[in-house]
Amino acid sequence: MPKAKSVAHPARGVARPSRPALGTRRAFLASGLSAGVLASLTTEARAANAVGEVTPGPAPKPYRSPTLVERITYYPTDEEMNLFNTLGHNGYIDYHLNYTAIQDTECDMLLQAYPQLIMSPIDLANSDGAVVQAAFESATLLRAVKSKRQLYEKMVEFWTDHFNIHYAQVGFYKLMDDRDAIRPHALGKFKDLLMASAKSPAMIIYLNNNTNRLGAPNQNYTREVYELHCLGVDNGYTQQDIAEGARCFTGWNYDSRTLVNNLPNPLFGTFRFISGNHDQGTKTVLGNFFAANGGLTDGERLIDILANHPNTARFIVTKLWRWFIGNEPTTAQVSAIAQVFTNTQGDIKEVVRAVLNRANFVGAKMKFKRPFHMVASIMRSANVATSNWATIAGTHLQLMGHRPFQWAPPDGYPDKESYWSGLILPRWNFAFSLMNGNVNSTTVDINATFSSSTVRTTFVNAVINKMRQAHLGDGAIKLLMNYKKTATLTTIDRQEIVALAFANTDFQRY
Amino acid sequence: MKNETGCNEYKLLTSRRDVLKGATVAGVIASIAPAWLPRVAYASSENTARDIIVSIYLRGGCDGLTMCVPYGDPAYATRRNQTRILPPGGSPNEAVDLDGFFGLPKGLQALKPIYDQGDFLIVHATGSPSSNRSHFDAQYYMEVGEPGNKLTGTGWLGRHLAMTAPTDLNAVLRAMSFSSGLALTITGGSKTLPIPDPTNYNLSGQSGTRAARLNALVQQYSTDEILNLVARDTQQTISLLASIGFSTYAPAGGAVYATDSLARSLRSTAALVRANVGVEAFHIDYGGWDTHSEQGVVSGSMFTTMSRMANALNAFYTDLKAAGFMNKVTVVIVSEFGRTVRENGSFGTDHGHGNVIMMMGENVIGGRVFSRGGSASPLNAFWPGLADGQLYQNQDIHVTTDFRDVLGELVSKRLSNPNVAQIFPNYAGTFYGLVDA
Repeated sequence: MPKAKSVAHPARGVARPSRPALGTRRAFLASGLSAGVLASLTTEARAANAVGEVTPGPAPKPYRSPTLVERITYYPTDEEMNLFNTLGHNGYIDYHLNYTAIQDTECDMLLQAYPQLIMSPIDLANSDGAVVQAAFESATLLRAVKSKRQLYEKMVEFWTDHFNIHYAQVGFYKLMDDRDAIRPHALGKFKDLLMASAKSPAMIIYLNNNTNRLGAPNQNYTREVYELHCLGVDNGYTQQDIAEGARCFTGWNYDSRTLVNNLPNPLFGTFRFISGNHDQGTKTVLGNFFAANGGLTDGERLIDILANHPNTARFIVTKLWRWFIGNEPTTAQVSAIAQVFTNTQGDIKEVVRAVLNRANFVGAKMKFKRPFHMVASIMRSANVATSNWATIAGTHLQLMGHRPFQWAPPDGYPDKESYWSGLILPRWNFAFSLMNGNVNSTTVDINATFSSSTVRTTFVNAVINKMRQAHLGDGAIKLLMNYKKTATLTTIDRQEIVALAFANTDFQRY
Repeated sequence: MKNETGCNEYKLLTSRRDVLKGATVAGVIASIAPAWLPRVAYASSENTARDIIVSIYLRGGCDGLTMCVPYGDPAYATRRNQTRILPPGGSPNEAVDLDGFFGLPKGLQALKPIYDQGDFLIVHATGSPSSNRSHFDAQYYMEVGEPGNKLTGTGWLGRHLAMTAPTDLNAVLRAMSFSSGLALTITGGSKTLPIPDPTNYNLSGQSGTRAARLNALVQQYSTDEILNLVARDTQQTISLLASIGFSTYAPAGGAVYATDSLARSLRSTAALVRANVGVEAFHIDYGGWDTHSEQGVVSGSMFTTMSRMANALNAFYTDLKAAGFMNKVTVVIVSEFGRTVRENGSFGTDHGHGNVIMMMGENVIGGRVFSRGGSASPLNAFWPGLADGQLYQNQDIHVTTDFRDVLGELVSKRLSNPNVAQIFPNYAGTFYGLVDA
């Protein structure tokens, strides 16, 4: 019999001191206030909160409507604006969806600095892990900034979060996942993307399918493929479906053998179905009966069922809407585009085309740039030149909480202003460090990009004009114009003014 | 007020202080709380002294059966193999006995001296009634204090801060999370920021223009409906943290903090607590608990995670106790759910249900493991049990004490906030005498 629990706790050796008065705390008076006094206190308090010029009354609404170009690129450069103006809304979308036809010579050349991107698994395994990681992070940011296939890169980012994998837990396998699962299908068919992700060694390691075997099931991947990748949480599946689904994926593994029969294994690092680990019994998953001895086809069939499930269509459409449009879609809007998903067997291009319909931008609200986006937009808008992408993608984005592939849980980096907006300081710091020349091997040619003038009004107008696609409002313009009061500007002044063009509220949104 | 260079932020502080000096609680709340919150007016005799809360969230669902081992339950030994902790009795890596039924794993033994002081409490078989085993939902529900509600965007502690006046009217920072994104637990109140590293929180660039640039930005941000407060709070917090002297901080009582992230965060917390600058709530996330495979309870992954946690808490306790602050602070440690009673085939455990909640501080009635029995365990008046027929959904520990009973009592007694019903909506709690009144 367990020892009976007494209510009283064991005697403690030390008598606790009485609570001392805390000198700096103030006692509160509590008396009601008349409504008038209350209102005046509120106004005074609010006025005193404003720094500098006092702005009494309600704050002016600073927002505008988002544009297509800023939503499907990492910043509307002049080149992108020319394309848009030439092709029109639908033509511009067509152009970007047809991404393989877009020549990407400059980006391809720059990526040659990172041979790791095309290394075989065994070569990656034998490389210095830190070097591989730095190359991969660099290439990810470089592509967002330099690639002409901007919408494609936005989709890669979207799916990277959707099928999140934490680099620290899988190492170079995530580079392979990006290359072999995400990128080939980011604008392809959802079912192909899902299958490639399911069979990706990185995903198999990250969500433990590699330890999921007959008699010892591990439900981690199964739960997340239902909850996060396809159906949405508790949206058409039960705990039993998770248990049965996990049995389908038993034996799904990756080949970690560097040698087979004393010879280098050409299949090292690739998907490997270990049939001896597979639960060959009958199963019932999501209302579907699986006969015995299905082998590899059990998991493949389950992936197919998930890809074609109506809840999946709605779930993916809703996420894509939030990604591109921003506000919550109505049930009708989701249904209409989910129908496109179903009719096209999950053709991501057609779904994206439907989401980006011009009508959907009416009433769309501004979105808050996540740090990766903000950095990419700075680099595009100011023609930033760097030979050290790694320091920006690694160190600086880490300070902003958005280093690529470092989100640990499977739900991916959030995309909400309420999550990101509290950490405004590192964004300001990146802007100032960049413009002061304190980001390693990274430069902005102020003269060529903005203006060589040292006359304040001339210079500031040039900055505002160069940054016109950022749609800086009156407040931001005043900030740039009035930060310095002198008629002429020093070099530091000019650097800081450009930095302020990145640090203001309008540049944080798109 | 003209936008002058130099010490404008200090002028700002002074003028606001002047305004608030004469203000009452109601007036202060009116100026800082969102319109949708009910105004709370305290009776003049109300004791508004409050503990500083250090909220630690163990992300991933920590295995409560390992954190506090019910070695006295005969079924325990049949459920765990590689993840089993042996009972006290002469073997290495055995449990450290607490009360003859429960024990601590060796990984947490640094908590034992605090337990013996009566300042460490473990509540077992607690958690959310929701059967949801999704990390994201379960974490969300626990942080917002309302299982099932996905629409509220504020945390239980954030709501407490939003509906109360600051304990220190001069405080420029009332709550912070050691993270890049603001922790949900403390979302809702004003003067609340995510600060990944308070020892490194300043504006870069030319030192001579630092103040001017900050002022200019805060001015531009002041007309933004959402970002204006963030900018203001950031500016004021930069000044605040610069005055703390983290690099020369000397822990009291000979406490030594390790260099892992939890220890560093607790060290910074201790420095801010001892500086008496009015921060009321700290939130720290500590992950690595989602042990689906190779759990490693006596060596390996979970052992390391537990050791770091216990050592960091021990250092924090030693430091603040010697400095005379452990009666002003209550640490509360939660996790979204426990883990399956049965070990899985990968020498790990999967998502479960009932778990532990831990609390530390002089105002905690500690030195014991508190848990209540389950309806299926008439023999165990204080523990739901791990035998067949005693499990939740045939796989987990039952929840016999709702987490809102634990946190609600904390709010009511240690935060002097009687409005527990607004902190934990749609729930009528029971207090079990876990903390001092």
